[in-house]
Amino acid sequence: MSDPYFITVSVITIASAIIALEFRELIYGAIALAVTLLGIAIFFVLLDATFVAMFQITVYVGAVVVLIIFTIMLVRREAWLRLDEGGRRRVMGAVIALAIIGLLGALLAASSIARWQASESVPTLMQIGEEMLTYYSPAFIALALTLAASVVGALVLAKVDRGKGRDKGKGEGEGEWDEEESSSGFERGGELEGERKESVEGEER
Amino acid sequence: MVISMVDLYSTPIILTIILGVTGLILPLLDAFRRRDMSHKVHGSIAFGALILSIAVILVRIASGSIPLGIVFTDQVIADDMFGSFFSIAMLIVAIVAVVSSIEYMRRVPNPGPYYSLILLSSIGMVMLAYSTDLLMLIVAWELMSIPTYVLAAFKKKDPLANEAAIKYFLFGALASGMLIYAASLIYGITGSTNIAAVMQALISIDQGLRPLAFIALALLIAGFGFKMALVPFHMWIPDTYEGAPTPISALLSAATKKAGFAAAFKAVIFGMLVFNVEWSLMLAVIAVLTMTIGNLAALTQRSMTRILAYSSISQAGYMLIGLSLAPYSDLAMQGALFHVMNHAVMKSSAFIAAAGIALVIGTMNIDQYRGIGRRMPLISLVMAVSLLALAGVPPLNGFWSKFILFAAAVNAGSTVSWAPYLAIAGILNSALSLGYYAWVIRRMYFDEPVTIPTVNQSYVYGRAGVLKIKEPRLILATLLFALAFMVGFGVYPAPLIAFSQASVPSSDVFSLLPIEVQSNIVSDQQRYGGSSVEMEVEVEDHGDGSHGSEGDAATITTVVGYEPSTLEGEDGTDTGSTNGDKTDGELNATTNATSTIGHKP
Amino acid sequence: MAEILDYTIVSIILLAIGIYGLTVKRNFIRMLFAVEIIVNAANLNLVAFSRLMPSPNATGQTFALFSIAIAAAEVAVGLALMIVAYRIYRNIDIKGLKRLSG
Repeated sequence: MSDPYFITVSVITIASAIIALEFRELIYGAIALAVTLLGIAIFFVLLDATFVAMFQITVYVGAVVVLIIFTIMLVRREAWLRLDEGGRRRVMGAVIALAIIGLLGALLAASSIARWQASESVPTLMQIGEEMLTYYSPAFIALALTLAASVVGALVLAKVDRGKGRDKGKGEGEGEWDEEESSSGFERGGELEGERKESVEGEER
Repeated sequence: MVISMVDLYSTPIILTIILGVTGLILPLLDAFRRRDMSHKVHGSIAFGALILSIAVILVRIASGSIPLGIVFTDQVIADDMFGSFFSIAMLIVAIVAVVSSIEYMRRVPNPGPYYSLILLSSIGMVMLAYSTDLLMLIVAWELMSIPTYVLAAFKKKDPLANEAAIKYFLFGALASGMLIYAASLIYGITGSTNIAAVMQALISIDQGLRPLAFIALALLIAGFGFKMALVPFHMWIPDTYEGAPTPISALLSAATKKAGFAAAFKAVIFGMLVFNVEWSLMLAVIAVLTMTIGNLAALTQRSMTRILAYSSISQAGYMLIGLSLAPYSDLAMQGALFHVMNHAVMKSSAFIAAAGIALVIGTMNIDQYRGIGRRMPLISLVMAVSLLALAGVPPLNGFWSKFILFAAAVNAGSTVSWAPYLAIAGILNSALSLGYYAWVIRRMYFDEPVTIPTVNQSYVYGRAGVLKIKEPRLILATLLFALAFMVGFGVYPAPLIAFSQASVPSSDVFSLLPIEVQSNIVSDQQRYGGSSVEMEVEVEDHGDGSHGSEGDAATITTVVGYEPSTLEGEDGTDTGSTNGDKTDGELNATTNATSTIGHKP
Repeated sequence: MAEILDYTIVSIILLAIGIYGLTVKRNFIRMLFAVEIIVNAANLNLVAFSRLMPSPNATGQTFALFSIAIAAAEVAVGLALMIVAYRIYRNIDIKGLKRLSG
């Protein structure tokens, strides 16, 4: 525990993680999150994993946090910026967190990883590439599909649907398609159905 | 380093290619046309791809080149029977969801991405079932989950759907965070993510690392538990199933949950290596809690989707019985797998039937189901049959899987003393569940029709005065398939039993177990004078009760003790009376039966 | 050079902070932050083990790369869900959304 870099980086990382969750203004929270993620990237550099560090910075800080900040900017005027969780709830959460740290920390400190000796050999970028494209190639395909799915999904959700673009008069003569309507369309059917519904009832009796 | 590429002709890769290509083409189809195409076009393409995938699996199985049970290789995926079994179960659910969506989601825009996401999610499920590597498992898990977050929110103007999706997303993201954390610890302990290598390393684990392994496994079970609907992690289930479009609820409840089980089967296997007895006892306790809490909560619900959601939670408990007894009894695993397949069909057909009814009468509230049995005879019939199958009423398929599970629990009593209690809890819970299933059936068939609040115009035909309700055709088609499955395999369950038997992880997986558990298994087999496979066959044709050894006698006693009591419960259903007395009777009958078995060895 | 235990302790603290955030916060974006913190704690573990275990191998780093990509995909979908919610409610404090419970 004598490494000053390590101690500095861990203090910054942990502190900014707490700030990210607790700072009132959401946008500064997002920036604090970016600092946490940068701190993790510095850890990766300390661990001789420079490629992962670069990836972390480009993807997390460069894309994820920027995306989050854009979203916050879009919706920031809203009421949810004012957090209202009660003090009791917060105390309970803190107790849970401390219990996790205490329990897992004690288990870790007691375990034999505390006695592990670091070896001199460093995993290289070439090994990563080789693993990713040979042993992990199916996982790589699955990852590609995951990203495709998230793109398709995010686009569909973010897209504003124009209600008038569809085949009219198709599908059981329902007439103009209205986007406000839910899929089963029973609300409107019910409204229009006044007497006909009655006659269904009558037939039953 | 040996460069090992995955076999391009293995089943999971072929399925990935079929479903992936179709899934990626579907949203592009819209790009070439100015107007959205209808759900019919996209739905049919997706349906074709899914049918083709099932055909590929079946052809591969028929060719005899698929190894039985779970195979752990040095690859990230293994083409084995276990994976094929789960894939078929999940693809059937995907087909049911696709076909019913064509009708149910008719008015929701963006059909291309909708079916594309269902297909991508099914690739995730398939790869999850075949994966033999923790990293592969997690990537497949995400591929399965991410599309379903979107699908749950697909009705963008519906606040309920959105809230359901947000809840589902947060719990899902937490679950995947836990899984990645658990995998990181397991990697730290063993230096690998390949499950075979992890198992090898865990056998000779340093005592000082055991606590870490325990944390990792607890996190794994918690992570999987969110998808499996186990009890401490079940709170999102009813809200999500209620808010999401009902075909998607069917997909979530009947398919992604099964994928969670497929993953947990693999995780539990190496959990057993490190903590043999405590681990399975913990799972057994969760199983009983899950069953009981799910059923009790379902009793108070009035919304059909919430009833089905809670019933889905309780059904997870039954499957967990098999999981917790996995090291002691092949039969339990077989029962669990069989139940996985059955539940996939029963639960999806119940959800789709509810969707069909909601499409016409516009509500999920069972108080509005009065008289539905006469207005929509076919849908109501399938609804009733699937509810009875879920309760485990013979001669439906749900009866057989529950029966095998409980028989296995009773048999395992000679190895682990608490196992028979699982069977008792399971039977009591089946009786409890019959309470709310019977309520729904009573509403549909035995209550006087009331004014239906709204009837969807599209499903009414005839001239004024003699209007009739037209049952939604595509939904009906899926339901009739499910009905054939439930009744067909209820009357003649042998093929499915054989299939699940072939998919059970073979006992050599457990030959890696620490010595004391192994000796238990051996003594178990000696006591019953035969291998466990023999017992399974005998369960299959239990009717001709002329077997010699004690183990078989025990099995047959359970049959005798179980069948009449279940029939009693069924009578209770038919008369529509409160079945409190019946439940007590059943309790006594089963307790007697089980206690005699308990004394025999 | 810090030892493996130091890294795992930092990772556990981050995990605990993430779980704290998920149990306490009722704001979707904060909860998303908490999830990201948990995933990063896991990544820190992975890379630390990859370098500092008795026989280092690259698997941990590969795993971390996969996990970063997955988290990015998840965030994209999560934020899209939030945009949809914003259009519906103009208020995404999920404590306010009580209609489904019961």
